[in-house]
Amino acid sequence: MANKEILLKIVNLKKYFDTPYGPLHAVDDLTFDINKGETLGVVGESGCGKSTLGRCILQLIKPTSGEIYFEGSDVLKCSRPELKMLRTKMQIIFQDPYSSLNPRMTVAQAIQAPLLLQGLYSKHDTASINTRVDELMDLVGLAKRFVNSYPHELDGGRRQRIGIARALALNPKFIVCDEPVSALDVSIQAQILNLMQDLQADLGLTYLFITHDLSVVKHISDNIVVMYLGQFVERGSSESIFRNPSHPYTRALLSAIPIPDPDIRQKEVILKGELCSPINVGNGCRFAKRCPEAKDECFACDLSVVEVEHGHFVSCKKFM
Amino acid sequence: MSNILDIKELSVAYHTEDGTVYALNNIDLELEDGETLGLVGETGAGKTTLAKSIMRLLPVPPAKIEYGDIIFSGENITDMDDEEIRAIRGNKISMIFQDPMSALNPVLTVGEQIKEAILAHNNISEDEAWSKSLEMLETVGITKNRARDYPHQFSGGMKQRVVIAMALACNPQILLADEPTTALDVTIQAQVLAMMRGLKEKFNTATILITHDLGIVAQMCEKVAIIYAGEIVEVGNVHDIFKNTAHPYTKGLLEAIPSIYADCKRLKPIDGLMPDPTIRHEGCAFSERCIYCDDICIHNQPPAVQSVGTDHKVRCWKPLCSTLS
Amino acid sequence: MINMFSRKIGKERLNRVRSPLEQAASQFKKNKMAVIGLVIIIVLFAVAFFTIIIDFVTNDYIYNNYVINQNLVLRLAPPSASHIFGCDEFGRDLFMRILWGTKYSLFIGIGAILLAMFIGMPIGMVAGYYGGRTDNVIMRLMDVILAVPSMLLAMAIIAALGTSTVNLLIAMSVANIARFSRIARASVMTVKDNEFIEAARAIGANDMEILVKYIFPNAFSPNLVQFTLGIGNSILLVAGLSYLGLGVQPPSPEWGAILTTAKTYMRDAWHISVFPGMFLVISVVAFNMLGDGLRDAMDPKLKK
Repeated sequence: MANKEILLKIVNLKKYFDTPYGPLHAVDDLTFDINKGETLGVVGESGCGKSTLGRCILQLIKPTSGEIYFEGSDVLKCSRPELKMLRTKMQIIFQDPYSSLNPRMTVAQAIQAPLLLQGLYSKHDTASINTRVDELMDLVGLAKRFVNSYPHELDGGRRQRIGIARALALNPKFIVCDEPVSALDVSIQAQILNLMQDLQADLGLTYLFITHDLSVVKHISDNIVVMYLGQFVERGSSESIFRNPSHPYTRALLSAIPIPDPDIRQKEVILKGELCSPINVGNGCRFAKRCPEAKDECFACDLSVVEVEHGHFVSCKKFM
Repeated sequence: MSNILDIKELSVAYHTEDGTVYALNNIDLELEDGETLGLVGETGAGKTTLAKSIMRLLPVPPAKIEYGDIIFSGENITDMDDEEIRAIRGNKISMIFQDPMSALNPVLTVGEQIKEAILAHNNISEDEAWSKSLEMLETVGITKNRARDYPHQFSGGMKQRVVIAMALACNPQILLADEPTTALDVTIQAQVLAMMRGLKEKFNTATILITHDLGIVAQMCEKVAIIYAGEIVEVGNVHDIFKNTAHPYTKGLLEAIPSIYADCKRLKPIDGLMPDPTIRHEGCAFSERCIYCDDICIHNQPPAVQSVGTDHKVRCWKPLCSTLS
Repeated sequence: MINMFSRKIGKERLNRVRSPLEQAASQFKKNKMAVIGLVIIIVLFAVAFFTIIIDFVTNDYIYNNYVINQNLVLRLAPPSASHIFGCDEFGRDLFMRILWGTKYSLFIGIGAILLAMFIGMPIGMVAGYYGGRTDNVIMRLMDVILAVPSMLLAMAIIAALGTSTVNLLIAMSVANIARFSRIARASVMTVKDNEFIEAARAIGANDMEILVKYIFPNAFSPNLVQFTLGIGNSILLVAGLSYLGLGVQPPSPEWGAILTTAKTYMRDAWHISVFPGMFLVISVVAFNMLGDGLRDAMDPKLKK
């Protein structure tokens, strides 16, 4: 196996928010790596903390504790100018193509904003700026005639392409993709996913792909982390997780997806109850309340991680 | 089986300052008693406009039913006045929307809201209505003791159940469900869909399930209609739609979905975008994006109904399957 | 339905691209009342500039001989052919006085609001953007200011500082600073949570850049509306203060100042109260119509 270079390493990352009712455990003790050129899919439902995770990595939210190593150095300890430099290497694509673009900026202005902000081009160097903007628009498949359009004049798919072009403007190495296709129609979703794969191959990008859609994550990820209420539940290569889903939650998630085939009547693992609140959680497995296989001991003590096969880890007492 | 709903040549347009938007063009649709019909389409296809037209909830102006008839249970409801249509809404035809947050009144308890829905159409005492309301809550899986709770105390999935309870409280003949589970998490969606299947067996309500998710359609519906750019391009039973696909758009949709069961390296999207609804196109609405497109497709509107099987109709010059297979 | 509207802007759209500003302008033009208001305001500005230019060119000749010179023969003369608005208690032609009074109401009225906006907006933006304790401290301070009725507050400040135009401006803007800061804060808070702000941070923008380039253009419109609506109030405030003798000093023909003595002569000389009053009303209504039109022009864009 080729020696994979680790681009991003997360160690014991925690993010707790203060609420009047107690601390909200948004991200609780997460550890994983992402290799260069690969895609790590982060899967979970609402409230699992996947978006918070993405933002912590980019330091749009300050983590409570833990370490984040990018290309070997701890990014949480860097100074302001170093952080600004780091932004050229780590970027983000947002979920909502409507609120992630400044309504007062044209397509060209939105795409060149990072170039100007980082001082890569001077404001007067319009020729070079325009060339670069054209280049980026070509890269993401946006027709030239939209250069001076405003976001509200374009559909979701095109807006998302602007978001991607903006993220690529600084030639980053790593991009956090926060549910980039969830708000798009099926046929457009496929266009954007293909685009993202092409860009990854051409530019050598590394993705952290956050989504709730298991079919999308299977298609695009090399490795997957499944989260539930801030904790990691299962982690491994995409292939092994789909072949051998081990954690009861992963199994429930997989079986809950409606199969687009009327001849297959799926047997669903219908979970009991609702997601409980991530505020003031006690010890023990947070999924136990809804788990069809829960035992008394699951509610009590801390979780331990078990390796069910090579590189495939599960956080469940069942495997101990 | 008789048709509880018959839509004939329905055309709806929005007349705005910036131009006329042709939302629905010549829609023909039939719904049988007790049947679940899936209405599949993407954003802007006209699914919500169609549902709202049936309920006469369209804002008139700027919307206008230009042409066509909506026949419910033998009666033509297209030109009914406000009072008559109000007797039907909520009572004989109910609708549930995508966002349960905005469907529920935040200052009334859920029990109250269901009770109100019942009292609006039934001449019974308040106490009777209240106990019926509690019954409905139990039917959708919410314990009676939560009847006095307010909407904000419920999660998304539970709110949607309350909305469904309200919609079914008067035992309507038709339920219009507009993307009822799109805003819910996948595991919650599974719960709600399972519950809806149970309700279907119990009440036998004819349902039009509007969604963009072909998986939900495959698991929940008997009949499927595909809507594109304001037109029904294909309609048939669920098996035919998935296995004997006739319209290139339907085929495109089926191939564009990433699947957890198949291993494909590259998805097959449908190139291009839905056409501008302010422009009346000469030929087939899908012609620009269709890989089988021919001259005849560009210049001539395909015939409205072309049978390609039992109860399987398509609107296409070159359907992918022809006659009974 | 909203989807229908967003869909229609597609590759076939032949109209040229319209910026949010152009869209608002075209929406504004459709509102007849707003356009009338705008026309009236333009006329008022023309009158004000006209009087200033004449004073400059004639070296105050007209001012001295037609506006402030007294002619007791014509005392309280009613409207006539030669004096269309009549004369005041000193025999001064009311029409000329009202014309020359336009500049005070307009410029002091607008000036005070402008000052309030330049100070209040940044304060509100900072409070809204940073939140937490900063927000609390600033807003409580503003609450204290707002607790005192603006007229009394202005009177107190003038009493402390003395009567001069500068002090008048300061006094008048203080109360409005609190209003602007509130509105600015609210609009910043609605914009702040949008993802494009996070996107700006992700590309390396610092707080100042975000406030100026991203938040301000999007949060500005409610302030613009408050600005135009506030001018109406401001004009009335100037008039009120001058009426009480605390504002523009005689013999300057500020409309409120004209009204000071008008009440004594109301029964005999109705024209001294009616005409300045009418001009005050027309100006305030014109600014309000403009403000309403602006607000409506901005809103549809937001709704779409």
